[in-house]
Amino acid sequence: MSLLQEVWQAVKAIGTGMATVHKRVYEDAPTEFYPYVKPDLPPVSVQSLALVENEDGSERCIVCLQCERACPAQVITIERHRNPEGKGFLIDRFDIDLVNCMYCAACVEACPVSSIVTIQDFEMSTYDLQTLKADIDFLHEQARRARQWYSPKFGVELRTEDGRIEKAPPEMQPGGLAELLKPAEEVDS
Amino acid sequence: MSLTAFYALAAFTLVFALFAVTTANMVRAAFSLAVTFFLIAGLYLLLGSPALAAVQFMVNASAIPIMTLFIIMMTQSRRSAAPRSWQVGVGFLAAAVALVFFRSAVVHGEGRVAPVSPEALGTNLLQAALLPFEVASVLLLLAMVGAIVLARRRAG
Amino acid sequence: MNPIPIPEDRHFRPRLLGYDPQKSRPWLERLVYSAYVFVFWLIVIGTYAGVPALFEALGWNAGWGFVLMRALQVVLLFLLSAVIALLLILVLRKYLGKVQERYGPMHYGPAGGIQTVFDALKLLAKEDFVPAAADVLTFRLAPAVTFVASFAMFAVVPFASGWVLADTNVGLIYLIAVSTLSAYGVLLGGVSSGNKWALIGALRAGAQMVSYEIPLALVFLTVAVWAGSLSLGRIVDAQLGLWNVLPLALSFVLYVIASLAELKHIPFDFPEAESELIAGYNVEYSGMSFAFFFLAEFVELFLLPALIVVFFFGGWHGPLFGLEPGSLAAGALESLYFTVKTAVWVWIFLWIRATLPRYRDDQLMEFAWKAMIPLALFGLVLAAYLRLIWR
Repeated sequence: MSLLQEVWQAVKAIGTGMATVHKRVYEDAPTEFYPYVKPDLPPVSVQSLALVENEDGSERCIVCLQCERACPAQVITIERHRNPEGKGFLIDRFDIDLVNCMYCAACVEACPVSSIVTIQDFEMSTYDLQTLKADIDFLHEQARRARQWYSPKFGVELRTEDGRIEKAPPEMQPGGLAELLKPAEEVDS
Repeated sequence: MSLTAFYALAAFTLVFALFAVTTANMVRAAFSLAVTFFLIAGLYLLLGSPALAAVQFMVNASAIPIMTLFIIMMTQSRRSAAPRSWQVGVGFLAAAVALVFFRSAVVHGEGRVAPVSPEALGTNLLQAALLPFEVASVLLLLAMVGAIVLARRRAG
Repeated sequence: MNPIPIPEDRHFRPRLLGYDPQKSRPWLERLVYSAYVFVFWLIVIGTYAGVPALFEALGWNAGWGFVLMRALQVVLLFLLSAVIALLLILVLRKYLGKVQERYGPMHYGPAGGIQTVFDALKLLAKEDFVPAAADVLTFRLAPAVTFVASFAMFAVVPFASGWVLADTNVGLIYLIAVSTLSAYGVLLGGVSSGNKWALIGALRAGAQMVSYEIPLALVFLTVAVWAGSLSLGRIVDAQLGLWNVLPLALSFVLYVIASLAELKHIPFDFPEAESELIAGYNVEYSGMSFAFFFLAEFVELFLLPALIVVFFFGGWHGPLFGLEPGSLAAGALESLYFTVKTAVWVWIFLWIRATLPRYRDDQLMEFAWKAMIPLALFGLVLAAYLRLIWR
């Protein structure tokens, strides 16, 4: 009797499995047709780096060397000189070696003016590695091409409804007003 | 035409049989033995007995060489000593005798041997030849039991 | 989707021929399969009706002319097996893709329809490599033996009434012999490769195929007892009133299981278990030799379901709509019925393949010797008893 029960259970299990498989045939495949359709990436995804200019085309980077210091792989090389006409510095050279870069985005975290950003363009395959030794023109070009889809820096910038990137209000920034106003016990825990 | 076919079959049978007894590689020997049996099934077909040919094909040309291959694989004995010259001679002689025998059977028996249908074969086996049939099956059963007993004793 | 267009200059992008990824077009796939089946049907008609008619018109239907006719039919059947392999590999990949929520091949031809042709061309162009440890003669022979063993089954499979190469009265014994033979090529290939994975695969294949040979042969015998003949044509004729699947239901289930094992098909694919043995007995093969192993596998994947249809589902039987039996049109219609029934069974085999996981090796052998063979014997006795009391 138990043998018959076992056989019946086995038959039932196989039948259930085959029915399930048959249902799967009519479901749509979630495959993304990558080369023909650009995939939907998450809003913050580190695929490549770019250097953003201001809206009026002037340089946003203040050449503070924070990114160079933060870089664990030491692929950022910056040379600067003091601005003779005002305060601050001017860029002589801003190179990122995208071959050796490990895309940790530590430079993006370190940047105080959100000049260096991550973008979603991952199609960087090339026959010549030298093309990936990015200079400042390359990085600007990347940012111009990716203007509408580069990642806003979390907590500092916001993407508005119409797609522009704006500075986040102070209460949303980490270490900003909101954090100061938090109750003391919450900060302790 | 059937004589041409007979000569072609017989020639290939001889070639493969010779290869089976002369090669030192046992896998090749087993395989060419199977081909030999297969070609002999063709000879049976020429003799007007498709049932016998099919049984020869099934038992001697498929099942037995598979077992032989199994034994070769299990025991890892891929190579044997090269056959001595008198063995080759005896084998050749036996093949020649079989050739003459089959040729005479084909030449003299063509058109005279009625094709044996499987129904007639089965009826004969279970009526006229029942005793030898049963004796043979008991013998096979004994051989099987003996093999199992031997294998068990070795394992224990 | 992102609003930025992908720059066209930076990367090579292949074109999608005849497939729009945004909208699914299942009718295109069905059209491709139908085209293959149509070619299959045409070749069947040509083999079994066209060639004999041609030779009769030429007056060559005796002596060597008859031999020539048979040779031509065999060549056509080789073409047929190539079409079968191309179609079945395509269907297998598409179907498994759908089950696994992928698309399968779709870049070459309408809905990927000629992908397998390109695969075959690739295999033709590849180097046929012989490893240093291999026994060259046996290594070369093994794919041929495997293919011939599968291909030889065509000789007795009837596609329609009278459409068979050899309607011999020992057809079933021949089938048992040939299906045993197909274990040969696998064994030889595995042993001669000089590779331990191949050897293990060959040992498993030999043990499995020889074991499942016995229930398969017993089911053949059951069918023969029920029909009262060893000829496949007469077995089909005997099912005119009632298909064998009803009175011989037990043997039918056993036949399906045993033929899955005989095919080395999932869930019994131990000889080529990819996760354990890389590819088993054919691991050292490449190029055309490998293609012949593949061809043999897919020809068997057609022939064993075809035998299910012959034994249990009335072969070519179907409504003839007043066509005169024995005429060309009736034969064509009957072979279409046969093809469609076989296609359904091939699909069920693929369905099983898509569903079940692999068994364990000792479970497989235990199942063969402790369940399949006693049940097959019981089915044989039952069929004999039923035949005595019914007819």
